[in-house]
Amino acid sequence: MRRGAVVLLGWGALLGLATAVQTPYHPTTIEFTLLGAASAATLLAGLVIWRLDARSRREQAGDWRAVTEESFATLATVAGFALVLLGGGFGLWLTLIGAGVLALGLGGLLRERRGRMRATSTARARRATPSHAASASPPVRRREPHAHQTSHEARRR
Amino acid sequence: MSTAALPARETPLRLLASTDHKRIALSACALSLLFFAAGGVLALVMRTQLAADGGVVSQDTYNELFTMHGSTMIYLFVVPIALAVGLYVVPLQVGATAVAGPRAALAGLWLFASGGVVMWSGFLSTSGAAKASWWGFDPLSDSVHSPGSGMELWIVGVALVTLGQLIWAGCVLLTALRRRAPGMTLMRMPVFTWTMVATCLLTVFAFPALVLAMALLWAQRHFGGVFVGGIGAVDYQDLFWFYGHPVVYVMFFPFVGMVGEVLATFSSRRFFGYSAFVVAVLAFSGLSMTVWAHHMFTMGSAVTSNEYFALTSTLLIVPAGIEYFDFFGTIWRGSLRFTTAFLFALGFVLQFLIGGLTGVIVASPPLDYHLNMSYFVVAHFHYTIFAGGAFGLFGGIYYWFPKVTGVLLREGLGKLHFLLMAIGTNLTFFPMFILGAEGMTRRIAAYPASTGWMGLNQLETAGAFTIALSAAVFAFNVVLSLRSRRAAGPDPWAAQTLEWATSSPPPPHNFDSLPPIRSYAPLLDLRQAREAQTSTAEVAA
Repeated sequence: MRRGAVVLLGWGALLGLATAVQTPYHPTTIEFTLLGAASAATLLAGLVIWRLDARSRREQAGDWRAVTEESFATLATVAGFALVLLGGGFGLWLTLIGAGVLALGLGGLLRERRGRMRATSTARARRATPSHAASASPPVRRREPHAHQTSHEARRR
Repeated sequence: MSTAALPARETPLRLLASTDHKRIALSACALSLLFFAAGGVLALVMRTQLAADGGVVSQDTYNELFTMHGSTMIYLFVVPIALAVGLYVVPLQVGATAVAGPRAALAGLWLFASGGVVMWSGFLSTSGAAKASWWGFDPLSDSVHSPGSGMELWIVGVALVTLGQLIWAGCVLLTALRRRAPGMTLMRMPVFTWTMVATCLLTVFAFPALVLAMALLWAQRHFGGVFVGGIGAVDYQDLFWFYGHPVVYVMFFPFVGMVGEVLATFSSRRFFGYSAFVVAVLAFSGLSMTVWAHHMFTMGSAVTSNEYFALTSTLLIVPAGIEYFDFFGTIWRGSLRFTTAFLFALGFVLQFLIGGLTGVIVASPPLDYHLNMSYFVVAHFHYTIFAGGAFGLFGGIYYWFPKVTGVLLREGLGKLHFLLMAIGTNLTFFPMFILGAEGMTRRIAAYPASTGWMGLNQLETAGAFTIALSAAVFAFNVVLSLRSRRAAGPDPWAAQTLEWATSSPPPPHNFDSLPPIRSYAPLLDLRQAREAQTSTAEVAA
């Protein structure tokens, strides 16, 4: 059983305690808010991880997960984002160029996601076939023929 | 002597877009070291200016130099390289096949790279680079006092870089918490992984304050009215230091973990006091989130507020003491091997102690009133970050270089590197304590001759050039070792953790098989089991 959430919940509780100890020292609003918000955010993140861990325990053992090897769409997304930010100071023209590149990048990420889902379902279908099930015991890295932008590979969980 | 085969070459385009955590981390490390060299050159110019008592650069240029030196070293070197080493090593140490969120990790790399380039491109602008120090305090950084695009580029650059670091930290944290191999329970994670968990907690929950501060600063410059009056400026400082103190811990926690691994391996002993260390690291990181306003003791905040932050700052010595106790317990009666990595780890332990103990002095408000803004503070944080952090980092580099490249670095050159760096570091930073106590303030481009500070300043400059020489020796060592390759094999140090159970360098999927994991030192367990079997067989024979 994974207990990763315990780390976040414990650490968040420690920050909460520090926030409480701050009270008799009459902190300013921003001092109290900063520490309190960090504590709340950590506790919230802990609860999310707790839920995710519980959900992944319910998933079937030996399931497949697609692993990305490269992603040009990510590069385009970051470049677009940086240009949009710079455009805020240097003019609308740069913002518009950045927005275009960002749109291309996000489109690419969606395309990669579709390819990844296709790769996973293909791998699952192969696993369901008895001949493939027997041969797929070690971590297998197979190229997915239908994924064009990136090479998605299926691997056993 | 055996030689290692050269690895197969990849096309540059594929390297740029690779989502393999090892490639991302290596690119980030290379870029960080490049920025380290650039920041180092700025430091040498500053030191030359102070040794000559002015005359080398103008006051305005000097402002750009110290701003970009601090910004480069913190935003572009120490923090990214600390996180990048974690990005490389943590998935291997917990037995994961990949990092959690590989695309996000790639995005983090390019946010870091683009942020760094944007920040440095300020030098090309007509107004010059940013000159409001690495803090960028308002109103010094507003459009009235810092006009021009240099400051603008700095703000966007810092925001981009910090976003990238946030993403990396999230990936590493999720890998440690959710991608561990079967058998790798939380209390079997290696000490370096635990220090990375603490580092990433700080990054994920403190760094958003800096992104917010940069966004507000940008809005202040363009629209005004954000940081209004004296309170507004203090609010910016609260936001900044809520990031600015935890970042100090981000800049040494990973190196504490590296030193822990190195000391255990080269003492041929299990890490001493593992459970106490884990609790201490988590408590240390939690406490470090609560001390930020000790940077603002002299701002005129309420006395009670200063009392709280003095209390939490002084409490930090408890977990720090536990960590030191564990370090000495690990090497005590160990079978020591004085490799370069071990020497750098010892350098960290001894020199970081000076940084830590002088931290106790500036954690006291009455003493801080005397020392604030003086060279004493500069000496304190350089002993923490450089004499501590950088020594820990080089210990880690000498330790993991064979794993990453498959070849060994030259030990002779490594020891020369250590010797020069230790001499240079202490020559540069120790006299700063004396100058600071005598009243030399930081960020001054010249000082009156009557102060008598020139001798110590010249000594510091000689030390800075010695550090530069040591960096050149390191660069030569890397080039020589990569060109004339001596094969390392999977585990050249008889190490203890999982990353040494795979080939050097590791394959794309990290492991072909994993050994049984029954403690935080699975390879040591295996060796001890084998030795026990051998001795039993000998007795039987």
